[in-house]
Amino acid sequence: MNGVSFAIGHGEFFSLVGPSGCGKTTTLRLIAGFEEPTSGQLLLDGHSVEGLPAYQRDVSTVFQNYALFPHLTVAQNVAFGLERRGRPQNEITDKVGRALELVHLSGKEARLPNQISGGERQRVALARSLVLEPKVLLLDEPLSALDAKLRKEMRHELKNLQRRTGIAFLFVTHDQEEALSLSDRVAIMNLGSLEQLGTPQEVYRTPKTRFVAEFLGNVNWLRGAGVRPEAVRVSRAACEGASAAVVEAQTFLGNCVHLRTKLEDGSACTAEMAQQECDFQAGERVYLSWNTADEFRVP
Amino acid sequence: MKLRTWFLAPGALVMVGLFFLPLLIVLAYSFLSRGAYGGVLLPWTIDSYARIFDSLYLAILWRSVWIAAVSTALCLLLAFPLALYISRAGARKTLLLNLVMLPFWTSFLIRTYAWMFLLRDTGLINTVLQGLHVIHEPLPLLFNTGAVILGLVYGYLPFMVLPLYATLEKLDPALLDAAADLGASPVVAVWRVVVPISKPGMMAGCLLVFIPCLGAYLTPDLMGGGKTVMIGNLVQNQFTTSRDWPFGAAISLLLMGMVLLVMRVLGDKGEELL
Repeated sequence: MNGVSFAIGHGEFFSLVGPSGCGKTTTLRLIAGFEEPTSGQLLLDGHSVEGLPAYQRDVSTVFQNYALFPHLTVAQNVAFGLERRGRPQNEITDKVGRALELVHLSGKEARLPNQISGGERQRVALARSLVLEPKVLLLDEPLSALDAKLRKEMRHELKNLQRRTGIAFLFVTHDQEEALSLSDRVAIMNLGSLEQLGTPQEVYRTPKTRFVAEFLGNVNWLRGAGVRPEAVRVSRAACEGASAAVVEAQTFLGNCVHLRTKLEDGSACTAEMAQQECDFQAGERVYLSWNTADEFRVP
Repeated sequence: MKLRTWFLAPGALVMVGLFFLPLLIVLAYSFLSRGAYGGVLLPWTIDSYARIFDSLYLAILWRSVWIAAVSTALCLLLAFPLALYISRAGARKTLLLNLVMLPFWTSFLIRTYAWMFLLRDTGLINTVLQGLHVIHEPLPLLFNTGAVILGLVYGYLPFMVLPLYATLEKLDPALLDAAADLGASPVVAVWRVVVPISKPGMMAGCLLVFIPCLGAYLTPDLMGGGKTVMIGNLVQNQFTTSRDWPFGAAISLLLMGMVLLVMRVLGDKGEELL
């Protein structure tokens, strides 16, 4: 890893996103204290945490496979961190109760991790970390072990939890949709370095590198500029600044249709539109246009 | 007959012919009277069982239990850190495991004699210590209870390491990260997470060590020099010098009963934990 530098604000939902092997999990493990950086600085609330072992850092991690203690009940799992901090028993009971309420697990206190569902285990892992009120909550692909439907539900819940607790979340994922929909800011990583950092809008609409543009969504590269398929308008009538193209095929994607066309210079361009709007046939001559504001250029 | 019955047959025949029937013979012997030159005679009697309650024999029973218990505890203390280390040793795991099992390549008898050569008055340890003038008289290292425990711990340590390793190897390393993450120092993480999770392995290891230690014969005979008599030695004695087969049979069955009891107690606890 090289040249990865960023600061997370108080109460911010910050995502690290990138393909597997890009260094996002390593970054998270460095912050948690499971690994030591060869060089560089790590500040928490303005103080260096260099050399501080994981168990003395005021951050907490939600692991990819939750890493719940199999021999402890739900309540004991959540109480583990408070006990290590030597909190009095009545405070522990109180806080564990509230943390489980926060993640909608009241009534499951006495269950063991193997007696609850995957989604519930996820919530226990969240409660176990949140109960400690860490400065930063580190989430390592926390949704990847859940099925698609549950994953979408948990997304909203994560966002809600983050707002209600006001704790800064550092969310690591390879899923760009998750990162874009949840985060205040997103950092895109590739091959051990930081490609771009910005709000989801910024990084999606004005990517600074070709990698970022392509990682976050589909791109048409036309005359040196990138255009997202949903920004491309297709019409049968020629208009000012439009480019002529021929329809090649269309792909039905459920909520929309991708219309693949070929421009006169031979370059391909895909347009995204609602199915109702798509009555184009293969071989048909069409005109493509888009707002220049939707265009972006990368080096 | 079904194929599975045929598969069962050879093992079942061996068990019935070589284990179950002899056991019945031992049971019958234990209720008979002793013959003058060994062997058994009528009438049927429970005298042999009554004699077990003689304080001399109770003392031997008690000694066997505590020697086996102490040896098992020492094995556990030594094996746990070793097994934990091996389970985290990465590429060297296989080498280290092979080293643990290396002693099995030589007969237990020969290894016990090797210990005797090390420990006896004119053995390596005493010779070196005397040569260095650390001591003037040889230390009494052999032919006592301590030497018996040493021999048992040495002999059965691998039986504790292997089941412990099997459980620890399966332990998700993320659990240790999680414990550290939640504020547990490495020592606390081992005590609060690794130890409880590896309890089934500890139970298995303790059974595998305690049972043969309780019935140990060779080690107390050689390393104890006949001074530390355990149940195994008592049984052997009855069938040889004492020529009291019924009593020997009764003690054998008692030993078996004790082992079953231990398995029952540890086994139930093991299930609770799982």
